[in-house]
Amino acid sequence: MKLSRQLDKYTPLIMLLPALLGIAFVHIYPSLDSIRMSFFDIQLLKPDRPFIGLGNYVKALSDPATIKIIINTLFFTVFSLIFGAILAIIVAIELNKGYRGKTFFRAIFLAPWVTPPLVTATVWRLLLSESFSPINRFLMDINLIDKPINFLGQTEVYFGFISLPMIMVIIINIWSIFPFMMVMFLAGLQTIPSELYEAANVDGASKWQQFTKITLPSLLPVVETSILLEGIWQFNNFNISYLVTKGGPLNLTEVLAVRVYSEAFTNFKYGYAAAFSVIMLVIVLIPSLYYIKRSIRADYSA
Amino acid sequence: MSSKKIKPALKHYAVMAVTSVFVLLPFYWMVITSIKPSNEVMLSPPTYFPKVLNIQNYIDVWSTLPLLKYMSNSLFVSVMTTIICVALATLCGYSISRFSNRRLQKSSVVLMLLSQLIPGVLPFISFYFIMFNLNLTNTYAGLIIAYSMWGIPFCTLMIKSYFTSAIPVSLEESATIDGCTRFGIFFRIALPISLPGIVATAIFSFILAWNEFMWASVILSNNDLKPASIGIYDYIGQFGGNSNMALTMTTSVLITLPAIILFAFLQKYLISGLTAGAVKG
Repeated sequence: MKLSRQLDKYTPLIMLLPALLGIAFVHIYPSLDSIRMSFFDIQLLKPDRPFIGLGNYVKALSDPATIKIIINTLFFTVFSLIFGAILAIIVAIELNKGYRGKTFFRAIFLAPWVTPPLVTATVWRLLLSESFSPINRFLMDINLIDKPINFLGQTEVYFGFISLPMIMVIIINIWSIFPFMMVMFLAGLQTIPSELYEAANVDGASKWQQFTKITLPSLLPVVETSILLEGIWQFNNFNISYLVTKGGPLNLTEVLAVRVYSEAFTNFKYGYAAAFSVIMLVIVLIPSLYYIKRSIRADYSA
Repeated sequence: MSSKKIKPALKHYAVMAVTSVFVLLPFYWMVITSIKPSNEVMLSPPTYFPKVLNIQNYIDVWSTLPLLKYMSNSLFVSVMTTIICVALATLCGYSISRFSNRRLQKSSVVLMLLSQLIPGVLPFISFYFIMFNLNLTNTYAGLIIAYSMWGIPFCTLMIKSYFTSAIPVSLEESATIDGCTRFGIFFRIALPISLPGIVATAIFSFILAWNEFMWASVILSNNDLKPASIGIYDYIGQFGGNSNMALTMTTSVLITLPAIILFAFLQKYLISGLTAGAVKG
């Protein structure tokens, strides 16, 4: 009895420890070690691995393609997020209205989330191909175009970074990420008490006023959290760009995560790849710090 | 019925219809392509519907690809990942929500957020060497350890807010007075009440493991161990782009369908499990 009482004092710690050790082993230690590796010239076939200081960084940043890839990544992230979030919020609000068939539609809309990225990429590649695409056939049937478009192969670039393949990659990405945001928003919406809307109705508030004065403010914490997390995930997104286009044509759709992967596991230049991943860390750090500060405040001052 | 009620309803179903088309188009094309006879598949422009139904592709894929093997690998890895991830995240999330004024618990939250914000590829390179040196490449363990730990930060934060908002502290206080240990309270009171939150967390980690591609493609070269997410990659790559669309689409249907059907049944738990947790945002 006495022993168990003594042990009980440590229960909170014992509960915490396994997860913390796991995170240290999988996230924290390897991250620090990757930062260390970025200062060395580590390649698979070279036995000596000399310290080269900022050599990898200089090499990465002096490559003119790097800036292009960074801009690609930001464009991909921001547009996937904005349009993904808008679609998710519209659909979530409609689903929350309690019309007939909402369980059915919800089940349909969640399907892209459980579809393996490889399948997503393969099907969309077919849908956007030049010769076998039903979309091309449809556009031709309604006389909008007179010969099929090679959606993923166009190499014209507008405004320095917008290209048709990139827009297609973003649309495919929105298809696969909006269900998660939709679920988060839906959960957030269901916690808004319906009395608020009833009161607003009595007071004669318009639908738009109800949206901006009740729905949006109540959803804001959920929206903020999901958008920040989703933003970081999309910034690191590897699957869509790699599986749909392999970064092509002419690295028009290449993003940073794909570059890290191909430097490390195709070219076997581990040090150089690590430097690229540290560059990614520096770029996400700014919104991240804001997010951490905000969540800590929300958790402990409330 | 007045026009005041009809207009919003029309708008509602218009939104549902447009979104459904966007979401379902790939699935529709997958199924349609997989049941087209081989001469029809190569028509350009393609036909919207096949003239005759043809299941030869299914027979071909089933007899050439070890799909059942891939699926059972996927299932094993995903279930193990879910069990480990949910167990650790629940314990940790409980500790954080109940002893939130302690320093260690506070810094754990920061650690969780931080690990969530590190770009996935940053630890990736070093972690590959660690797993290689531990002889864990080409093992299930290499996958399960990585996936379950990757899922922990998000799952912990999710289940933590569920504990905080769903279980009244007073309920636990009375149990303490009755002489229950903290572990006793956790297992007898906290766990049963927060079951919806735990199910939502489990669904999340299951999907994470089920869909993962990058890590699996790096550490697995042994064909017998491959989960479906990468097992079919060799196959699709082998036949390349358009040369055998029908077989590629058939494979896609076969590995996607079970997950979608399962998920359609589980989705209501996902929403209810997230709802209580979302109160505090």
